[in-house]
Amino acid sequence: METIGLEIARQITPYYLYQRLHLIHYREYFNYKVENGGGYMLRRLTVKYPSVDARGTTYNPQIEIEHFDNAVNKARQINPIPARLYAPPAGHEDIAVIAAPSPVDNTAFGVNMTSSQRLNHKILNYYFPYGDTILVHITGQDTTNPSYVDLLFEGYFMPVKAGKI
Amino acid sequence: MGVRIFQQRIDPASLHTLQNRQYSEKLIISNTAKAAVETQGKTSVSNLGHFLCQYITGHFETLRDVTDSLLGPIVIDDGVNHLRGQLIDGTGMRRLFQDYIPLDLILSPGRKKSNDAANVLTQYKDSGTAAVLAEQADKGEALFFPHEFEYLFSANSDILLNVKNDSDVDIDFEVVFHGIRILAGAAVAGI
Repeated sequence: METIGLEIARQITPYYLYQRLHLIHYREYFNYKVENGGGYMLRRLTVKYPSVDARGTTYNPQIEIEHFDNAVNKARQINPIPARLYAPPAGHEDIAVIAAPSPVDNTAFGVNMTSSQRLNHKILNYYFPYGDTILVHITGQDTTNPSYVDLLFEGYFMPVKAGKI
Repeated sequence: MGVRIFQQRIDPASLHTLQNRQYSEKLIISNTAKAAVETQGKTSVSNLGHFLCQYITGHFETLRDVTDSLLGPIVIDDGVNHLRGQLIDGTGMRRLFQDYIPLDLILSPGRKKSNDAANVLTQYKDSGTAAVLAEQADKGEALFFPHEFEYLFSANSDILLNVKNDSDVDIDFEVVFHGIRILAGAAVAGI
């Protein structure tokens, strides 16, 4: 056992990026420009989309994700990867779209999803230097279903200069 | 950072010395998100020393209203998540989430079955028509794994969790921060 190095611990900040994307086209995009001053270490990606629609009709969309490394202008994999293989809960069969009952609508599209358990995940460890853009393409949807997808990028903001954040 | 029992010899004396300066600790935010508004949950790191958070876990209720023909609004547990939160380090109000995140995406075990719901044990039927208004609530989730979240919260700071609730009833939530307390110098003077 070792004592904890406070100087190291002070250098990283967890930073979660959340976006709900409305799926209108066959290919949709997530963009986020990493702020100047630090890079971003993407540890995990959580993706969630409904597999049961508001009318109770079950369908089985397979959303696929393609990560891009903008800094060197290439994709990080040869083919898009199904979200359910590395970014759960993805389209778990119990996830349904429910209209928000509230007088105060905090959601992007006025709907909620059934709560789902956080399952296991695959560590990504994609590092984006400062000024880079996190770019993800989403495919696999048709023009109707699923209507939207929740993306949660979980990672750490890491200062370029140690101890300066 | 963890102790791997079978990979190293444990020296009780040095372990005890270290434990007097650093030890495993958990901080909890336990609150009720008021219906249709934003509620701030808060826990204090206190002046004992810094707190290195390593994991977070949490659970919350999933409640809403349905209308009984005779009794009026009845609270049911239908498994729909209504909470989204923004985690903030009270030191300088640094936001650790870019936006409000649905709590079921970040918390394990997540949903818990609520004793406040009319359908907690059986399905709920309308008092006048006997029509089923809500099926029996599903079982709550079990802890699957703590969610990695490494961050150093400074002594004397607060951990803030702003939670928006878009349900029409109040909803309880609890979030636990698992980590290591690093005692301040004054607290361990002479050890």
